[in-house]
Formats: sequence, C-alpha cells, structure tokens
Amino acid sequence: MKHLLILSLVVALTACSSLGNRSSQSEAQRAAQEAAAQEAARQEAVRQEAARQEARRQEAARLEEARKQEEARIAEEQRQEAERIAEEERIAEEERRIEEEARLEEERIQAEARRQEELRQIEELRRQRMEDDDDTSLVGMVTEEQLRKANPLLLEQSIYFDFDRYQIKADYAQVIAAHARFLITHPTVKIFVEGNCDDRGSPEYNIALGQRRSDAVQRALLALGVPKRQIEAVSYGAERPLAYGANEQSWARNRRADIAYPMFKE
Amino acid sequence: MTRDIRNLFALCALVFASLPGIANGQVSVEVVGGEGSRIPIAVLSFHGDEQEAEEHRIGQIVAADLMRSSALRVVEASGLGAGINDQVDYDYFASTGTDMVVIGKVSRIGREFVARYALVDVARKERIIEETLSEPESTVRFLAHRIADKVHDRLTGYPGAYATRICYVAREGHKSEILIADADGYNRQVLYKTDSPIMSPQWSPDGTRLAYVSFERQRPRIYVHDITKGTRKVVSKFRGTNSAPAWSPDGKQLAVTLSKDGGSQIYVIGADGGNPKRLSDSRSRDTEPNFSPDGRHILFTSDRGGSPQIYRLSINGSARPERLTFDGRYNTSPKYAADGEWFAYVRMEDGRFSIAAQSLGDGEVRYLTSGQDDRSPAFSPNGKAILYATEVKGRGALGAISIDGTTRWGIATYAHDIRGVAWGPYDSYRVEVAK
Repeated sequence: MKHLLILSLVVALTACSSLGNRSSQSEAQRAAQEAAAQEAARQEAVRQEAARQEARRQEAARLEEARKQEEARIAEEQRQEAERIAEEERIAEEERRIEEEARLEEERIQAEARRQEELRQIEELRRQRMEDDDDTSLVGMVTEEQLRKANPLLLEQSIYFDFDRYQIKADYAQVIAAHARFLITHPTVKIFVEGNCDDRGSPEYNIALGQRRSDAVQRALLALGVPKRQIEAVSYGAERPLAYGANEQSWARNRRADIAYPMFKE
Repeated sequence: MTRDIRNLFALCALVFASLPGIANGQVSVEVVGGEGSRIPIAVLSFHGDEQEAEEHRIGQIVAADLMRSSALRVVEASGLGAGINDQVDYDYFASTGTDMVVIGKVSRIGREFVARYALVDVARKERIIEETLSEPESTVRFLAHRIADKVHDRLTGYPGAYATRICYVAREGHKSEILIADADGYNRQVLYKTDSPIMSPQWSPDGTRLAYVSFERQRPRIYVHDITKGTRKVVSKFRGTNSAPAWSPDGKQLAVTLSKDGGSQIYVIGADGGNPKRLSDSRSRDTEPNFSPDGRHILFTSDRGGSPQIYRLSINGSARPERLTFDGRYNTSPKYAADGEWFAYVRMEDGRFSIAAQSLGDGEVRYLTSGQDDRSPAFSPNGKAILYATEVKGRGALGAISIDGTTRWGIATYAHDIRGVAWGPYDSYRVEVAK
C-alpha cells in the first residue's frame, strides 16, 4: 500500500511538472522540477531502502521458516525414535512375558514330573514293603533338605564303635535323640539301621556282629519312644565297607551302624 | 593232642607264589608230608594224547588229579608211554619203587572222547581195573577226572572227588559274581552277576541248587538259585537279617540265621521257604549253622561264652548245646566232614585267621593252614580235603588242604576278593550251568 501511495505521488508530481513545462518554462518551474527530482530521488532512496529492508525482512522470515522446519523435522525424528524405542520395549516386554510364561510352564512341568517321580518312588517303596511282607503304610520318604531343616543333626547318620564293641558312646546321645524326635513326628517314615563291621574273620560271624550294633541303635531309639514298626535293624557284616584298607583307620570307618532313611532319589 | 602242621607254611607260600604265572584255573600242588604211607603210582601218557591240546591230555590230567591225594605219591613218568594192550615193564617199575601204573588210550569217535584205561598192580603183575569210559568233547576233562576217581577209589576205598565242581563268590567293590568251576579250577563259568554283595554260597546235596545271601535290597535275604534252570527264588526274607544258609542232608530244609526275634538265632525253614522253626534260644550271637551228615545235629558258632566258639545242638532239642572248642578266643565257621567224625573251622591266633580241624571223637585238633586271612572252609564230598578262601599278594585265591595236612594246593582265581566257597557233591560235574 505504501508503495502504491509513493508511486501515485510520483506520477502526480510528474504530471504536474509536465503540465508546468507545457504551460510555462519558468524558473520556478525548474526549481520546482529540481525539488521534485530531488524529492523523487529521495523517495527513490527511501523506496530502495524500504525494498532492502523488505528483502532483509523476507530473508529473515525465510530463515525463520527454515529454522522452524528444521526444528519440526528434528522433533519429528525424535518422536519417531521415541516411538521406535517404545515399540522395541513393548516387543521386549512381550518376549519377556512369553519367556516367563514358558519358564513357569517348564517349572510346572518339572514339578509335575518330580511329583510323578516321587509318587513312582513311593509306589516302588510300597511294592517292596508288600513283597517283604511289611507294613505298606510306612512309605514316607524324605529329602536331605527336609532333614537339614528339621534338625541339622539328622544328617549325622553314622554311629561308630570300638573294636568288637556294640555299646553306643555317650557322644551320640544328641544325634540319637534328634532321629528319635524326627521319627516320632513323622510316623509314616521307616528307617533301616544297618550294622557294619571290619573285614577280619568269618564273614558270617561278622554279620552277627554287625547285627549287635544295629540292635543297639534300635534299642536306643525304642527307649526314646519311637514305635518299633518304624525301625528295622539289619546287618551287612563286612560286606559293604566304606574303606578297603587293611589298617586300623579303615577298620574304624567300617565299625559303624548307619541310620538309613528312605530318601527320594534325584 | 594238637598236631601243628604250620611249619610247613613256607612250602605253601611257594605254591602260591607260582600261581600268578600259570594259566587261569590251574592248580599247583605241594606235598608236605605223609610220604611213608603214600602208594607210589605212575600215570603214563595215554596213547592218542599227543594229538590233543595240552589241557585235553588225559594222562596229564589224571596225574595232576592224583597228585592232590594225600594217600598217593605220583611218580614222575613223563615221556613214558605204553599201549593199552602192551604189558608194562614190571621190572622197571618195581625197580623205581612204583606199585601202581595207569596206562590208557584215548580216541575220538565222532564228537565223543573214548578212553580205555587200566590200573596195573606192579607187584601182582595184573590189571586191577580195565574199562572204557567216554565223554562228549565239551567235557573231555571230566573223562580224565572220572578215571582218576575210579583209580583213587580202587586204591583207597573212596573216590578222589575229582569229577566234582566248586563254587565261589568273587567280589570287587559291591559287585559280585557267583562262579562255578571244575574242582581243579578249570572251566570257570559265571552263574550270576550283580552289583550287590553276595555271600555264603552253599551247594544243595543233589548238586542242582545253590543257597546264598544277597544284599540287593536293604534287608539281606536268602535265595535258592537253580543252577540248571538259571532261576532264583527268595526263600527267607524275614524282618531283620537273613543269613548263613546251610542245607539239610536230604536237601529239603535250610538252617538259617535270622534276627527277626532279636539278636542272631538259628532256625530251620523249608528249602522253598515257609515258616521258620527256632532251634537256638540264647541271648548271644548264634550263627553259621551246619548240618551233620545224618541230619541229627547242627554245629554253630556262638559267643554265649564271651568269645566266639563252636557248639553242637541236636535237632530234636533234647539237650543243651554242647561247646566243642576251647582252644583260643576265636573259633568260627564249623563244617562237618562227610563222615561226620571231623569238622573244619576258622581259628584266630595273634590276629591271623587260619583253618583247623577237630575230631568229634577224641577231640584231636589239627592246625592246618597258617595264612593271614584264611576263611570259609568247605569240605570235598569225600571229606578228605578242605577248600578255603585265602589271600595271595592282596588278591583273593582259593587254597585247599587235605584233612591230614599232608597235601595242599592252590587254585588261581584272579578274583579281587573271595566271599564264600562251596564244594559240590559227587556228580556235580553232571549239572549243566544255565547260560
């Protein structure tokens, strides 16, 4: 609009001067013409200045626009990146969930298999009890962990004896008591007390010797109130040695009675 | 009264020292006394032997068998041979102090080995046996063992128990093998193999079954194993320990040691199982029952006197058990001889376990072996020799000694440890071991 005004003024002035020229070529007219020319030049300068300013303004606007666009592009990229990350996380989360589900399923299957295996072992024990004309209600089985939790002393299952002796040494009182308590509180568990001896002399007589040792442990447990049906004293004589050396150290390891729980096998 | 034969132990050590170098199952014999009363006998090579493999040469096998007799002295006759129809050189044998000569001839007829042999009395210049025997190719060694038995029987009044079988349990760790072999250790066969300990094998009187204790379950149980069928049956599985089976002479019952009523006591059960009848009733350890040949008595080990000693009870329970051994603080594992007049047992002295024998008549005691750890004595069916488990250089071996202590031999087994020994009855060689 400004431009138009200036332009029309210039046109008007030019028209006036030509009118003046045509009517009279006076000094005043020339002065007026010069003034007008100066005015036109000035106005031209102003116009040019305005145009330059306009150009600068436009350039600034363009730059501003470009900056804005760049910012928008970056923002878009960032948004997309964030979206991608979010998607990845979502997928990872999903995968984790599936894995966890699979793990739980696997655990469930394993637990089921374990349970089945335990049932099978209990059934096997029941079958043996039946075959041996034993009480088939005595099919309680234990794990080492269960014994440890109940009382760590229960993991001490060997009672050692002196040569040709079957008296239980006083040191074993607590161990025997721990086993007695466990048996009383677990009335379906039946243990074997297995007597052993060193390998010197008659194998058959050694069976009788080992029997004395297992009988002694059995008597100690009975005295503490364990029902007889839960204990069976047997002898392996010298047939299942722990140590094979022909020396006192090996013999001492073999002069023992073992308390054997029905253990779940892995 | 006690006759100590242990100074002859050094000779025995020599016998065993040579064992590892000889082929599996072979026997090495050492004569350690009784020369004066032995009948000198020569066994010549059988005609036809030279065509057979070393271990099938009848003459050699007969000679090796007779060397284990305490009644004979086998005269060196290698290189000498005679045809079955030839007359032996009486003057030559008389001049070498040989009273008896065995000659023979062997031939193959199809798959059979047929031997014709004669036992010649040098002084009387006559054949006191002359006959023909045969065996299939697979049991050719028994052909020789049967000849040796007949010769022995003719000269001494009883067979040498050469055509018999022995049984022993070889153990390594908990793994056990029940092995059956000829009496001289040849033709070893595995009857049964298991990852559990097995002990106390006992041969039934008819030779077809073995009773033994197996630890395949937590509770030790007694099995009867049919050798020919290869089947096995649990006959005693009472609560507690079932151990130390012993056959009655008629093969219908087993004396066993049970702990079902507390302690270790002796019972009798049927050979197929059944209700046990209690025989011993003590607060002591009673075990290792062994029937007398007439079935009326049982020898057993008991510590009722404070230390293990051997006692005798009568089956009808008429009298209190009678203590038989008084010498030393450890006498176990009694076994009746076939005539019922002697029993063999294990005695301990200075921590060493050895085999001894005692007369049930006058109580004479013979210390027979002098090993570190001799045990599980088992009589030959003729009652003249005792087979036992021993140790040579830390490994299990079989030893044998005549009841008079004058002849001993060893059988290589290559077992890590031997847990129980049995000697089959006469004719046990006829029992085929199930594959």
